Amino acid sequence: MSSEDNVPEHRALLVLPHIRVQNANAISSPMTWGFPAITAFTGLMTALERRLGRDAGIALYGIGVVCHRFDAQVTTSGYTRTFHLTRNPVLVDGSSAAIVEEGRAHLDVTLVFDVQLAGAYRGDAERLALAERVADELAGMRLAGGSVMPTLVGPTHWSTRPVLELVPDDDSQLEERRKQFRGLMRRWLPGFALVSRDDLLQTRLAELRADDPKASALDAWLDLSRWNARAVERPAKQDSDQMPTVEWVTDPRPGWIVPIPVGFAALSDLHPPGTIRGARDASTPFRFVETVWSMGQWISPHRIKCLEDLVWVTDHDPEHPSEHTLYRCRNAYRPPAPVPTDLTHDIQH
Amino acid sequence: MVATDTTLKTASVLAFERKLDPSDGLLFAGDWSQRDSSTAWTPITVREKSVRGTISNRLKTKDQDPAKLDAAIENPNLQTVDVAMLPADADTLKVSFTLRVLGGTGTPSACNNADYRAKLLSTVKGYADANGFGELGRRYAHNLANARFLWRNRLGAEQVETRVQHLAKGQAITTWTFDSLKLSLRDFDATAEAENDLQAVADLITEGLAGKTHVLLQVSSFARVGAGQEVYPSQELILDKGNSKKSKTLYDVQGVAGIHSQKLGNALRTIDTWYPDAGEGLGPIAVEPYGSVTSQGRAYRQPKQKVDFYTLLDRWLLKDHAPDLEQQHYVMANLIRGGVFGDAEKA
Amino acid sequence: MSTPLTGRPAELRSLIADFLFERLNAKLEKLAEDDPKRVSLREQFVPSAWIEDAARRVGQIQAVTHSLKPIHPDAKGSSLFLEPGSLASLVEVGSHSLGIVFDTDVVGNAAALDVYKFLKLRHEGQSLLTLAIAADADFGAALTDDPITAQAWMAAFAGLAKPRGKLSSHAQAKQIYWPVGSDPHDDGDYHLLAPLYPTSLVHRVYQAVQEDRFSEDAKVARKARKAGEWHERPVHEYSNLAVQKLGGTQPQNISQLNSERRGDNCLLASLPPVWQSLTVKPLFGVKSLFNVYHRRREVRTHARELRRFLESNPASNLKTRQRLDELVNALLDELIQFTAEVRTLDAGWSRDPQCDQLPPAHSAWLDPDAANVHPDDVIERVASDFAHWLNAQLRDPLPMGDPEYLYWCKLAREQIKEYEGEISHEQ
Repeated sequence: MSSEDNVPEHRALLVLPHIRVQNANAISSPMTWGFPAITAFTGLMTALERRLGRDAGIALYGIGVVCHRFDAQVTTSGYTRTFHLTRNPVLVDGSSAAIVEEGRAHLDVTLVFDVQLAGAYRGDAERLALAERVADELAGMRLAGGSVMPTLVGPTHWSTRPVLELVPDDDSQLEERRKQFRGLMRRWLPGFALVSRDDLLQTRLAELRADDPKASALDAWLDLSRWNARAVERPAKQDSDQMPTVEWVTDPRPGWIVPIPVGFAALSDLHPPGTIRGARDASTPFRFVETVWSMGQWISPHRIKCLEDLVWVTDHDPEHPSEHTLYRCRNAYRPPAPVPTDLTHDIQH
Repeated sequence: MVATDTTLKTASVLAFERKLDPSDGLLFAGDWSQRDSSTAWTPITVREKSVRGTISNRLKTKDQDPAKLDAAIENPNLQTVDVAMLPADADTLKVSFTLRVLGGTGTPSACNNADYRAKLLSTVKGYADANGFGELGRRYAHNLANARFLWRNRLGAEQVETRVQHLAKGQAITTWTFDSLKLSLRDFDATAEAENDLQAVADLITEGLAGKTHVLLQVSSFARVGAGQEVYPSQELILDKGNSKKSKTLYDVQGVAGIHSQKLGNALRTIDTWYPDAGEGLGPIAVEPYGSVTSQGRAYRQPKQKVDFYTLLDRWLLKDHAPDLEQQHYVMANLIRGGVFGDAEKA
Repeated sequence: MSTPLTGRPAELRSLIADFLFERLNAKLEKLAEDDPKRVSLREQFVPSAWIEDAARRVGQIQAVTHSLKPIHPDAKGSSLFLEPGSLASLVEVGSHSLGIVFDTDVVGNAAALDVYKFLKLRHEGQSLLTLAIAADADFGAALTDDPITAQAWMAAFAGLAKPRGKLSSHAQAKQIYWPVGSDPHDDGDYHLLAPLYPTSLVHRVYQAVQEDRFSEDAKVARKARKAGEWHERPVHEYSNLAVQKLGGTQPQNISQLNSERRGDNCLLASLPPVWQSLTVKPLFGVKSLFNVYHRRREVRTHARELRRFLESNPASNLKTRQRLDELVNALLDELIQFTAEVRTLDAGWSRDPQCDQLPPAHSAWLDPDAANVHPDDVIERVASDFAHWLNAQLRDPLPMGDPEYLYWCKLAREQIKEYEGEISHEQ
């Protein structure tokens, strides 16, 4: 293989379908639980790329996730959930160790990667071999602290084979590219993909501030994270002696939206390598951070138009890494804007 | 950052990943004679049943008034528990799981001291070069073949057969079959008939531990416990039961009764026969840094005896005092077990 | 503290004296009149003695907004105090969202918490801690007549919010490698991030959730909703809220605010929608796929929402149209998901005699190996049946007629065609 053949420069799409993860961390942040944090998936992507090595001829740029099954290890009766725990070995004096509450969940997810391939992978057979190598590497890894397990026997024609397809990358091939993407997407049904809805946080904050200028992003976030029901008075019909009636109406939610952690914000300066005791290594700059949150949405994969709208990428300014204080995962999805038509009138009797 | 002290110190952050990674065990029911077609066996489900508890918990002093006691007895604490049974037409329990053996034993997943890391890697290499992971592999294989992982389900079983398959690309390459009750839980001596197969499984595990690629095994164990008999999935640990009247919750995976992977892992690493009181007849205990056995509320490798994991590892790495070969096996088994072993507690 | 003071120093001194007097009395009340401990207690609470001791004990605690112990109870490393207002303002939610009003947490020796209560005393809106940090001369004079001792004590108190010792992390602390360069293979292209627990932020959310769940006002509002009566307060429901216990039976070992929260860490749910393979069954003995589809909880919820929306006579504008499309598309999403689920069954399932009543277009749509000859207008029929089904959900008492039917049909046709189109493209 010539060195030129080994430079990843051809856009491609890698799919690892139906990855089963056992005992993944279900406490995604200090304020949320459920599906593991998206940072665990971007972290997996980086770790996977490093394991494959620089010479593998594949570079990973973004990761999307479609969840098929989610099995949280929690109590389901009562108003609140509590976690099923694991007992730790007894202490050296024979007494019970303190229980550290960890939340766990089993997942069945399809992972979709935005990748670049080296020229050596122009052939179908070469790509298939590479896809299988990646899947095999992943099988020995941890995802969100959970173990990647062989798939349980699923529906008979449920494809679990990895897919690695070149993406028509020319601007003139936009239509073909979308067609290919959507064709692949329907294979990942039934299931739901996690996309970003930062826009909702902004919109709701603006709405709240119209009433209360002191409203914060936190208020907007909480408001979006719960069901809000309010009393609405219905006036009595004209010419009737009936009293006005009261109805409690639950605010609509724009789809299956969820509060999610999206990354970290700096709490300290960047400390030079080796200056912080207890750091995991002595060669990487160190920073204290806190989680930052936004909103996400679970949507049916067939609604997603292109790869960019599905995948998440890690964002950090490589030009000014130490001045930049936000470490975020981003996703390009935006909800479709409505197209006005004459029918709008028709349905409004 | 200038090193003024050249003595090697333990890394304050030191962690290892688990190298024997079992899936949860799933429970199925079928007939002993149908073991060859067990993929079609029925999943065992967990169901609730009501029990009328008696007053068996110790009464508080204020409740010891006879009148109150009578009232309490007339008000039996109705509660529900989970149970799992074989159906009336099936006499055999199948427990099936996969076991992944990951390579790179001794390579820490986190270590913040480069000198210590180098010393650790060379020490592990020294052990591997001199002994390989053969002794450990042999013991892990034995714990698959003897079906120790069935725990309570193994007791009272008339017959137990365990099949171990080597999987690659979703296909079974080789299958080994063991008569599990003929293999002891108390020692690791192979029977003559099982010797070759045991060695083959041991070699595979050894290869996986030392190798660069992981090894995947499918394990299915058949316990002939009798039609309609109760079987024992894992019990969930729920601290805050809230208003729930349920006193026992059993584990299931998507509706199939299950044994927790942690419980299977504990059985597989029950290979430590090298602790100080091992001669007293307790048999092997699970590999733990202090030799702790939760069911007995006791730790068999006390630091004052200088045979706990931390003492042995520190002496071996920091003082070049290699322990006896048996204790070397034990130290390596702890690295395979995995965990966070930093020195920061003492710092 | 013997010199008579006037003005601000005098006010501060009396604030301190009142605080100590109250605490002393609370302790004395618990003792018998002749208890010899009364004498030593009185000595302890002589202001100069108490303050001197407090200036020593303040080193045993630390005021924080971000703590480490909730990450792992065995973790030993730095916790930090960062005024939320001093943090970078972001569009994302974080501690900065708290603004200027926030609760400070305290970590360390619970026995020294009285020192923290002392430093929280306020004079003219400023806490004694703030005065100590500013080395306020009047505060110094209130503490003691000796200016040098006053300086030393204020310096000690001001240290409350400073990290103890050198900054450090720990093996049990969470630490994450974050790529900051363009080459993931280059070890130099990473930052090591150590997330701390935002205890002040968590406390605000905890209070909001508690208020919505247990306050009198919230209870009255919930009662009103149940009775169908009007109440101005909305009812907020946090479905699938999880409670994680921090610190087990000893929440005070984690922190003061954790103790106030009784160790309960409230976690908002971000669960994915799930389908259970066990519930996917062949459509036996039904006359339409929509009879089965209709049983889905999400379908019933969306249909109810759509009906309510139309009943409310929304204005004829773009926003209405957007909401309408959103709801119908949500129903169509469910139809596509339902289809995909049923298609995971073994092909040919609809050949069972129990499926006799299912219209051929429906079995052809759901079962790739359906027995009947595929009608060529499968998509059109399914779309039209969807529109009929939807109209039936809305018809009474809404006047729904042909334009609506045609519009539902159009939306359904688009979605179904697109979905089916991709399949034929692939096969």
